[in-house]
Amino acid sequence: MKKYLDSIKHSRTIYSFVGLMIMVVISSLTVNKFMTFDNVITIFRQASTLFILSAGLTATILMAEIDLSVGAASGFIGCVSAQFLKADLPVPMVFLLGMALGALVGMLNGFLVGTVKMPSFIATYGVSWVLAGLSVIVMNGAVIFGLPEGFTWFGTGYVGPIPVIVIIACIIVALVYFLLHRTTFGRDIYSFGFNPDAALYSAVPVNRTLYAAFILSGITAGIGGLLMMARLNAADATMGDAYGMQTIAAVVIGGTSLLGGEGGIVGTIIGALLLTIVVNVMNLLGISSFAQPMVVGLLILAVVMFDTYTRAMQEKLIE
Amino acid sequence: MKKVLVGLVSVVLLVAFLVAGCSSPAPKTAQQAPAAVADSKPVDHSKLPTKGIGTSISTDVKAKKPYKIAIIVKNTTNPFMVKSIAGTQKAAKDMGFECISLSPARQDSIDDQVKIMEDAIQMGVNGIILHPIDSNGIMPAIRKAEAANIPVAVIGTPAAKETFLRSGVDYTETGVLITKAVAELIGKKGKLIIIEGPPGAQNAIERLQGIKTALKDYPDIQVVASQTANFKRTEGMQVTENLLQKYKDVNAIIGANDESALGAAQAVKAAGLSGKVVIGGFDGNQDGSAAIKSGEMAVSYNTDPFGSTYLAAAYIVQFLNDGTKPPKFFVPFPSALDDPIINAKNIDNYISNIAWWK
Repeated sequence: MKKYLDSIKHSRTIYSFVGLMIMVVISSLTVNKFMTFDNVITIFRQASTLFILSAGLTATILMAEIDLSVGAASGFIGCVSAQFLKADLPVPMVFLLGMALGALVGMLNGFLVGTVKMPSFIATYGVSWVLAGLSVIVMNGAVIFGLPEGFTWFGTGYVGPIPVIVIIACIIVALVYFLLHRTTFGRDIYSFGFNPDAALYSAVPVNRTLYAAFILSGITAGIGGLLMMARLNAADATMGDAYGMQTIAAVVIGGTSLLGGEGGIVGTIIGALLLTIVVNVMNLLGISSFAQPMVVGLLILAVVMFDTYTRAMQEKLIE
Repeated sequence: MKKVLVGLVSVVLLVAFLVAGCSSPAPKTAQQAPAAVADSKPVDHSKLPTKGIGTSISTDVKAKKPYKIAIIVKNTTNPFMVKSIAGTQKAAKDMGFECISLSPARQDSIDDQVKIMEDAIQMGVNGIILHPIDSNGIMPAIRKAEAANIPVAVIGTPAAKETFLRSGVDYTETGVLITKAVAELIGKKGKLIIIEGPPGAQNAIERLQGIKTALKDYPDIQVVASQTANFKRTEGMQVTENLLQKYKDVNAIIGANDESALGAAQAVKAAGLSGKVVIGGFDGNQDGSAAIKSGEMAVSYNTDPFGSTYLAAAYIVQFLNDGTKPPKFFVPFPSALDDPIINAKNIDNYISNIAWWK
């Protein structure tokens, strides 16, 4: 435990955590309904989709690659699964198919980046266009709604006072944490992201790890898409759009370096919470719609600026 | 480290102050009111070239030559746009012209829409029916078409300046009528949440204006919050979830379109407030209709994209036949004359005989 705390202290995650705490303190001082049990649950429920979508993405970014297709993949898998549900496929089957589709998308990304050697930025960007286009075709301009209750339960149901979607998000986050910190796969990801050359020389199966990271990202995108749809009780072709950049923002705000090898899932959770809380607080304060996007932008800049600044300071100290 | 913390705190405080400074009511947009709002009086039904509404609309107008008429939409993901295309296709069949449907490659991209306008002009179409993505941004392309003697009928989001014709609903009027319906349902008093459309979008601004105008007649209705959901269901749900934390005693919610109202309904249901909150929306779309039938939503406004593009096509064909112009620039359709309010009483008739989404 001590060792882990130390590792956090030296990682950038600590700064996003400080940022989150400051945000929480200011929010509870300015908004009287902020620190209620209900509101905290609401925040977690809203952040759950982002938790799940950015969980797998964290692994990809730790390898110094990027997956721009997460939003489009989640939307696409949501749309296809909605069609499956309309065709009366059983719910567990729909979940399995959705995850399999996600894995397939991840495999495609892995193939383009790992085997064809395309830069991940452009490969996954291309894939995101293909998926967005496929969603439009699959939905044919319609919105599917009125999904079976056995399915929407995953998005809207409760176990005691805790929403089901929050529980699922926690399980997925725990699994990804385990994968990243307790398995060879995780160690390979970090060592490759930290120093690709050294990883190559020490016989890290780079391509296999790359495929696995993209597949993980695809699977979490799939689960995210399914739950997004369960929460909305509807699917439309554009529902994943908003998440494309937001997921990357969550990972990076959380202190995971775009250069790889540094950061992790805990930071991503913090990043996702920050992004969710800022909107929640703005709603509770009744801030003008015109100002909201700007405030979100300023928050992102403030957190990342703080992070960059402290790193520079640290390096100076070490010298 | 201390210095850094001070730095961060001041940045966050700066943001907080900015936020506080902006929390006053939404700034008035400096945008000029488009010419389109000048005369929005409905045109008497006997003077329209069409009969009926929604999918049952019909006309006696026939094209004298096989004109090529383009329908240019904002995207192909919104059912509203898809049915606009369907309305034009039905018109093409009934009146005997060729319908070309065009949509931007990137959804809701004004750049792409300008490009396809230019392509349509190159193609030599005889008329254009257009859902502008941006009121001002599209004007040069419209003027280019007019310079090539192509009449441009605008549906939905108005263009900034007068063109051959504007049809579709009068957004201000939709706001007024829905607000009245909702106000009556809550006994003219209580707390109201408004879920706004995208900030800066002309149709959303006009609709909000209508809502505010109508509220002047109901001094006992208090607007406790007015926040945007960008016409989206996800955002409508999230915003409502957040607002319900503070206003559990809200009596009514008006969403700027059905999608955001449905998101609100979902949040109300999740909060265990079903049946206690009157929810109003706009469009009368498929899911919205189902929600009115099940009681999750109370009212909506039939904005009939099918009928309004059909009507626009009839005017264009008339003009191409013999130069007959529309009676005035803005012919609102459907209007107050068409009983556009959908509620629990008329929902069955709406779904079986009128609904534009079938």
